Amino acid sequence: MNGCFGPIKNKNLFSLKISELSNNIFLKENSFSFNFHSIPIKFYSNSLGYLELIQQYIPKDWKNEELGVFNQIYHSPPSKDIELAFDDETSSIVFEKIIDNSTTVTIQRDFVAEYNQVSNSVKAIFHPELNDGFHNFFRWYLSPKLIPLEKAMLHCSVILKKDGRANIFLGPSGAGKTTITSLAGERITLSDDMNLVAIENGKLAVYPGGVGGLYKPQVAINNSFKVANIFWLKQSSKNGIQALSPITQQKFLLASLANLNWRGFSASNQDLIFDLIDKVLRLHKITELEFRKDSSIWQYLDS
Amino acid sequence: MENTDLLQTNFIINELISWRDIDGQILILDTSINESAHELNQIGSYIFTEISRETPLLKIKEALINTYQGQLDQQEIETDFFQYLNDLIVMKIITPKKL
Repeated sequence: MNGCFGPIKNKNLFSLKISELSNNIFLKENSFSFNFHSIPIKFYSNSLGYLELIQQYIPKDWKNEELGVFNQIYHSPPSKDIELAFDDETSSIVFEKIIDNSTTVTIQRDFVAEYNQVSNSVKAIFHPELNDGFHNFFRWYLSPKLIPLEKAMLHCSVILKKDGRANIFLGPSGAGKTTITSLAGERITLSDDMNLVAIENGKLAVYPGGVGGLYKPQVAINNSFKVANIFWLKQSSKNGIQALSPITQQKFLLASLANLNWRGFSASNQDLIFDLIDKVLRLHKITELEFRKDSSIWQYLDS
Repeated sequence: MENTDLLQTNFIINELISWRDIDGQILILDTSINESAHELNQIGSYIFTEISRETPLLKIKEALINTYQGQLDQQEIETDFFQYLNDLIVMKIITPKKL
């Protein structure tokens, strides 16, 4: 089964990206191993400079020098032929092509990847920088692997309260996730768009996602925070909080999961998503936060 | 599929989807076919739940007519019922049961 979601604006580039996977050589000489929220990853790259950049980005206590089974990522920068035009796709397409029983090719605007289920390895091409290609690839790759660990990457902004606990703000694009961070003054923001929630010791914790959004590293990505509230944002002429029905809360949380386009994700794994959502909502209800687009919202939340 | 054929077919919920009944309303998670979540309304949830119990479609249709008799025109109920079934089939949320 193949899938393409949204019109492709640049079909020539699209074909070039697919051919890059077979034309590029993925070297297995240099790698860096780390655990991303307990997911063991061995990251190979043709670019030594990029490996160093990744090493600097990953917290020291996430480095993994043990022998063991890793999820293997073979990275290569785009070749010279396509380097400048690689991200030149104006649509936010997601294309998936199943090559055979074990291999799937995925193309997004800023990365192309070939995943082999049997070897649990993926070849990936994106610019050797810590920008959208890196973020989108890792978010696509990691999101399904987080669910069985009772963790999930969420489209949300997270802002710390004065007591150090976190307010999580959910909502579709344009709802105000970034706006509310811009109104937050001196308060600490984790990420304005992508954060990771985890159930740890029966409590809900949140971490900066580190894989997308405007992430100013005010807080390292291995720092966790207790959750105070989960809000669904709705812009309004007044500030206020409304209760939401159980099914609406479930739906909003589902809609906020990053990268739900998980082809091949089995029904049993979908059940794990429902189970995780149940557990999250048992710990914290989601309420609707009507807010005015000015600093009064923070006076309201502080009070 | 013609309406008469529909009524003679046994349908089941596609095994590729997951779903939850939340206070009588159905929420469907469908990451592999339509890559989305669907919230069914009250009547949709009733039809879906009965199909999950493998209740014959004819019985589901009759139950709906009995429930909404006096409030809605029977023809209107039948038209909406078959339209809804076709939507579920097109979205592959339900599939014919293999014998």
